[in-house]
Amino acid sequence: MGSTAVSLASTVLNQDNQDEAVEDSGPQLIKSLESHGISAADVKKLQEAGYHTVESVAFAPKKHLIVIKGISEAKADKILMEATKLVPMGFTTATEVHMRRADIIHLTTGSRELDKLLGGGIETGSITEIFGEFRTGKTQLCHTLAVTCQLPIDQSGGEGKCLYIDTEGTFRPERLLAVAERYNLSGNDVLDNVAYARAYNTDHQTQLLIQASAMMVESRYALLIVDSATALYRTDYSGRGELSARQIHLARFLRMLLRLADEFGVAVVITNQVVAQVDGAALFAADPKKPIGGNIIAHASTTRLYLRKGRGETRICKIYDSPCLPESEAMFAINTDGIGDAKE
Amino acid sequence: MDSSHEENFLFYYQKLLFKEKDADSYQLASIRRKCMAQMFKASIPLSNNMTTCLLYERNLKSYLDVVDDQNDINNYAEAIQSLLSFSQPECNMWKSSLSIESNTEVIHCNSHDVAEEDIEFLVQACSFEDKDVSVKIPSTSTGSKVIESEPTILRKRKDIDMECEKEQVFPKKLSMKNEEDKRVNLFSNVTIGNSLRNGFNSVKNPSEIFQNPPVTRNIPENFQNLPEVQNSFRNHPEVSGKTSLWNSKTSAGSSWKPSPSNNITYNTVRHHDTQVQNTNNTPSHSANEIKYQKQSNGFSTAREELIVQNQKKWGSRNPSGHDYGAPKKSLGSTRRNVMNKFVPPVKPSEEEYGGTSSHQESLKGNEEVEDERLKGIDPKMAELIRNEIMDSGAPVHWDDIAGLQFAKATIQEIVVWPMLRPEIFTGLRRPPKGILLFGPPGTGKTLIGKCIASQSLSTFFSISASSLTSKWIGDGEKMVRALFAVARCHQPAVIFIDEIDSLLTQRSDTEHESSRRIKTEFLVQLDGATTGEEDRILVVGATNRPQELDEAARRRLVKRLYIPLPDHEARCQIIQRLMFKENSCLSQDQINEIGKLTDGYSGADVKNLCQEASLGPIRSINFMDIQNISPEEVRPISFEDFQHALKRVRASVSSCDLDVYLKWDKTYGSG
Repeated sequence: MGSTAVSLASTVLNQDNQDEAVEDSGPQLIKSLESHGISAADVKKLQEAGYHTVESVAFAPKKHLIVIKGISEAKADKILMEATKLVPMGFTTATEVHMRRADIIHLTTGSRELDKLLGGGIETGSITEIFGEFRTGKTQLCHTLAVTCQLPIDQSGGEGKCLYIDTEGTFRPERLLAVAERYNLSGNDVLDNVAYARAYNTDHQTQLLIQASAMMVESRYALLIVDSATALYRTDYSGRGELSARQIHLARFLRMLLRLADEFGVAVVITNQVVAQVDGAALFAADPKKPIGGNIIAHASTTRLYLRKGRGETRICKIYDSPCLPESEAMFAINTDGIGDAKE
Repeated sequence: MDSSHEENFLFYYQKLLFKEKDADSYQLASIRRKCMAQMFKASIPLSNNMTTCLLYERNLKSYLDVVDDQNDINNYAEAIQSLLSFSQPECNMWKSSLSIESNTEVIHCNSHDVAEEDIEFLVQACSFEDKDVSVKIPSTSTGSKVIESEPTILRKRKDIDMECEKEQVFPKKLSMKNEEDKRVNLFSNVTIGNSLRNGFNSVKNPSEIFQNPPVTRNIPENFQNLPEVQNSFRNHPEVSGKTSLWNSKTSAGSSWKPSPSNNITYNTVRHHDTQVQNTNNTPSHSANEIKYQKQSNGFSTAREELIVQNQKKWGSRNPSGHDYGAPKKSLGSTRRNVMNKFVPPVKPSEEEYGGTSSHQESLKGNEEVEDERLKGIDPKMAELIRNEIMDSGAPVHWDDIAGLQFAKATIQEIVVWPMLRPEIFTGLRRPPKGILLFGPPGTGKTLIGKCIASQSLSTFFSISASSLTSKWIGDGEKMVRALFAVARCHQPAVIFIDEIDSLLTQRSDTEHESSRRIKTEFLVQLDGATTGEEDRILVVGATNRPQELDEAARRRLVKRLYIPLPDHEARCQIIQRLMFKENSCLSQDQINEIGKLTDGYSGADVKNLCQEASLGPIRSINFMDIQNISPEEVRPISFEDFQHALKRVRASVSSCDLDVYLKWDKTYGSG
């Protein structure tokens, strides 16, 4: 008992330290540009256009800045110059990158097997795509992650809020409560830490990301979930005629997600639907399902996970694409209290 | 007298000022209405006091602001229009000849002059009321509203217009028979409304209203309708708050009947309203709400979403009673919204010791305990083995074992002394790793095991074949390995295997491969290349068939102790010990006699004999008496009972059986 109390106290201390550290290394607010010769009015314009951090300005191409009303080309140049001064964008050594990557937080999925497969969990600062048929556990995984991202870091959580964009109307807060119960968290706090928005069309979906960036400036977020990033694209754009427009729109959306992941270091989890290949060649393939979104989404997402249904409540997760993880499989289960390990 | 009235008045005025801080516009309106009604009553005696009139006028105006807001409290247009989607929105074409500006001017110049007449009228109005307070309050307030302000009338006129429209449709929709008479009511109300409107249209000066006979005549009628309406509200307590607002907003007699179906549509419409507000950022009344909407910008917290979903599912409240995310009343605006900072959801530390977290903690604890000795052992197997650790049970003393002096001494030497003086028992004096207890059944081998468990201070594993075998190929061996690994972690340890012949029988050509592997693994673990010299693990096996044991196992169980049948002395001791607890009249000689007669009986046989004998006194009781006899009246157990019992209980071990043991003992035994 005594030792646990001590360890608790020490974790609390650690948390404080980490908080401070995060405050130091977090994104720089756009307000800090004001002290570098950019007028407050221009800063306000940038804010209104969805640029809330210096990083977001520095990472934006000039042509996007010029589009903002009231920002001329000369002004955009100046702003970009100041922003790049504040944000390191040059070369670094691999050692430094390696050290930085060692500290990267992985959010636990709730299943030990799955965590092992993913090298500790969902990686923060990058996009993880989960795709699979219906009833393969995509949404359940999202719900579990929405809670586990709030866990303390020593319990492989992210100590941050969760932002949940739902396009299919499948968000169920009760599921969050069930998962919170499992981790012995206060249900009300868990729910309050999840910001939820329903997206109704693809433009709205993109618009929500701009608001999301504003909110991420305000408080610490650990996870951004877009439950079915592509569902609305499937219906908003139809046929080959609109294919190019759809892919460009989708690419822009994913680019914004990547920007948020870079700027705020949040883990971005998007789910994707599948399409059955019905042409002749696919008849012989064992599993004729492919994720939709084509190459755009394939290139944009850092880690791609393919879920398929196993026996009973077990599901199988396969690494479809990853920069460092080997291609292998893990089995997990969907329990009443979220994602867990498969029983014998 | 006057001062008390003044106090009353001031009290309600202050209440009005301070109570409305954190209410939504519906509550706000009802608070104001109630307060003003009471203020008005308090102000009747003070009607000549100018300040009260002024204050009252101001409050009425602010109340109007609340009630008049088109986007909030009065926003019924959508509800009605959605109901009337199939009919023409005629009311849109209707035009009012009055303008708000002209009328406010009228108020400014007239309100003071009017005051006295107003009060007269209201007194008149009040006299029509029931004693029921709930009826009184809306009626007085609406009455007062009528007096003071033309804009209300204007607004009301519009409402009535909408009402009319609605009423024209409602009767169509409500085809229920019992609505028939109400429909008549509705229509009569419509005419009242119309006449009201006509009256108001024609009148410019508010003071004239009250001299206008048709209006004054109408109002009492309306009031008479009121109690009925109120009753119907009471049937639906959950809506009464909202609907009574509606009621006050329309003419006093509220022709709108809150039938259940209406309630439902009303609720859903309202829900829709809030959604619309969220997306449109329509200006609303309370500053809090405005702030919240600006901040939320399309995002809401999961808790708000839960509330919305619950409302969809259960209606406006959760029937289960205990609901998690229900909107709880709170002081001030402490509820968190999307823009709030991250709050660690971890519960306070004192709660971690109980409840669900114990599971996690125990898991963590296990991981910490696990040392490298358990590496490569399936944690589930280790857990299964841990479950076999015996830590409780009836304590057995060495004295409880009758006879067997040599066996007891040997075991004490091997088990107890090394425990007391481990530094002496090193090197060659190191205690052996295995003991085999063999002998005919019922002679106390298992009892010795129990005794070791309770007397030695070591971890005692009671292992049987069932705890080691598995349906999976290879798992049995791993279990054996896990058993020794866990035992090594819990040194000093005693592994007691009753009926050891089940595990370590002679290896043969015909046996199954898996049992062979368990056996060999056991032998390896018992004394093999991996076992350390300083391990303090003792394996105690007990068996009835020592001749069937594998020779390698025999070698490893160094001390092979023959547990013989009890001799005469031991038998007497057993009988004495068993009879000690019972009511008996046996003399020492008789016990000795019984001891002689039970030659060849095992300990278990002697116990059986005593059980049989103890039933003798009971058998002698008449069947009729056994129901009534008290335990004390049963006669003591006598020698005769034993003589009878001896005829029934025979020895279970024959002398030729014993020959096998004796022979084996002579060959391999260490006694």
